[in-house]
Amino acid sequence: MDVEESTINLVSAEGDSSPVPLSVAKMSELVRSMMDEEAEDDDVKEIPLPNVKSQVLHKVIEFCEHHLKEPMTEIEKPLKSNSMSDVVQKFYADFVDIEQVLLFELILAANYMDIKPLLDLTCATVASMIKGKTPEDIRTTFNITNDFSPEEEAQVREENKWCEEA
Amino acid sequence: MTRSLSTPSSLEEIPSSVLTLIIRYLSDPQSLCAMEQSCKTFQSLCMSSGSWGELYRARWKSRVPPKRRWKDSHYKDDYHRRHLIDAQLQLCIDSLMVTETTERQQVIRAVSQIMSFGTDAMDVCWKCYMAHKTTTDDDDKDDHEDLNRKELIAICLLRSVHCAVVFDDVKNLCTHNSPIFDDDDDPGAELEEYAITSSRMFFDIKQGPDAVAITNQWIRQQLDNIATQVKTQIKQNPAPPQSTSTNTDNHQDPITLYKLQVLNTVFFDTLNFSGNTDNYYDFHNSMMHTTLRRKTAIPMTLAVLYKCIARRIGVQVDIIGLPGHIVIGVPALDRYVDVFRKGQRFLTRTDCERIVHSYGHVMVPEFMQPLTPAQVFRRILNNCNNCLAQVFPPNASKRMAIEAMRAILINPTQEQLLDCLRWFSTVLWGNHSSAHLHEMSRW
Repeated sequence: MDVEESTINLVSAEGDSSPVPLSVAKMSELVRSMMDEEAEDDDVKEIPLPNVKSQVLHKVIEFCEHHLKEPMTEIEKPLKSNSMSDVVQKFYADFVDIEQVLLFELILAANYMDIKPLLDLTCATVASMIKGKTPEDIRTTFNITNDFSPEEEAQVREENKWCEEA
Repeated sequence: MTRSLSTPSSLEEIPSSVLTLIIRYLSDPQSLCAMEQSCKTFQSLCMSSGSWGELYRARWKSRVPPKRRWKDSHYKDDYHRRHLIDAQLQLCIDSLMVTETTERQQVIRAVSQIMSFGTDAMDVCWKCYMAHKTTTDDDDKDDHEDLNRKELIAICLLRSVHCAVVFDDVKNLCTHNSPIFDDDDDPGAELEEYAITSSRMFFDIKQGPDAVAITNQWIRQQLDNIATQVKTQIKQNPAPPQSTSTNTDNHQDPITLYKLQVLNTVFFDTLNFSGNTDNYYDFHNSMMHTTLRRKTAIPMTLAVLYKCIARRIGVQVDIIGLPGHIVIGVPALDRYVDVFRKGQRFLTRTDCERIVHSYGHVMVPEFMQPLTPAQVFRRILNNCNNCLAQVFPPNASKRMAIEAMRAILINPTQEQLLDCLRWFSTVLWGNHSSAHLHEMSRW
């Protein structure tokens, strides 16, 4: 393909179509595999993404476009710092400085579209948010119900007590 | 299954593979514990994510189990154990670092306690050293004139702990209850272990808490490299050279002969290993790692290296401890190699007799008996001991250093050993000025 890079349309849950350069779209393993399957068919110009809302898809595209220009630093596990700006470049730290709801939607989109660096970035961000939180804080923040019986909870707390006395 | 379009209101809606990824990014044990305590799903994910292992490896470099050896629960338990030890260590170190002159008994108690944690103490001691060191890494010479008190203590601690660990291993090897030989009755491997262990006391532990593991690996890598070099040459020219030897050598194994000829060429000519005639009583001559770097040593170390490489190319050789000299014996050839004199030619039994005579002895058959790995080990330690006696001026420190060496061999009481270790590490590595020694002696 020596012609100018062709584009492909990513279609969001709402049906909005976003034209995206092939190289950007192919950062998603989902898109890549869908295109490979229909490689013979030159008319593949649209990829439906019924699980991704427009607002989220725009964020995903923004990430992928930037990643081609400035690839994100690989994030070490465990995190060396809980401040994302110490871990990744400024663009990416700013990128995840967003509402928690949107962050979770990005996680789901990154997982669904199979975009590893975006999944790494968003998951690492959630991990950094857990630092300093009590189990109760974690339940509230992430809207989880406590399914331990009082006895079980007391036991887990006892087992982990050493950790709090840091 | 298609996910609903609704906004995820709970982290639990996220697939468990993704939750595991989040957990693996958690930066500290407190976060991990808090996650475990929040609900059962997270509890089980935390214990199967590998996170405890990752946190463990991020925090400690010394005595870390090989990957995949432990389950997460093992890592968590040991993290717990070492977390508490670290806290105790920090208390001991803090008590040593206070500026006022500390009571001698108190110092001994603190140092002994730190040393009793063995390898587990290395990371904390190393961090303490990094926090107080003022000299640069390039400053390799052991000139500690400019060290402040805290740095001096940090270095002494680092070395004392290192010594305590090595001495423990040495003692285990001497009594042969080390587990390393359980599944390996190859005497060559055993010898290698002995030789590396005795060199370990002199590893440059200032490189980091995992310096021992790294240097161990480096030594074995060097041995492998030399063996590969020999094997490559043998492969490139597989035909043994035309035998110009006399008919009396007919019983010799030509393949072994050829292999050793190539080994001799690589070892003595290409790599230029030779006896250190200039500085025979330098204790570095007994160390595997320094010898591999400097290519010069005393007969014993060269013989051990030779045997380690021969083993790798599939030739069995013996270390023969003639009185005053060490040679390599090659049973398959009934010949000997004088490693100290660059193995110019294969020696015969008569040549060996001549060597024995030159040292004023009469040859007896026992002299020609191969040394066992344990005997080699004791000889290496004795050599170190003798070198130290040459190096140190006759004062209390010297006596203590030598006593420490001897202590390994005579199974001392714990108290004696600790006392010796303290002096040993100070004197041997510190090379401190007399003022410093004086200060140390006041402890």
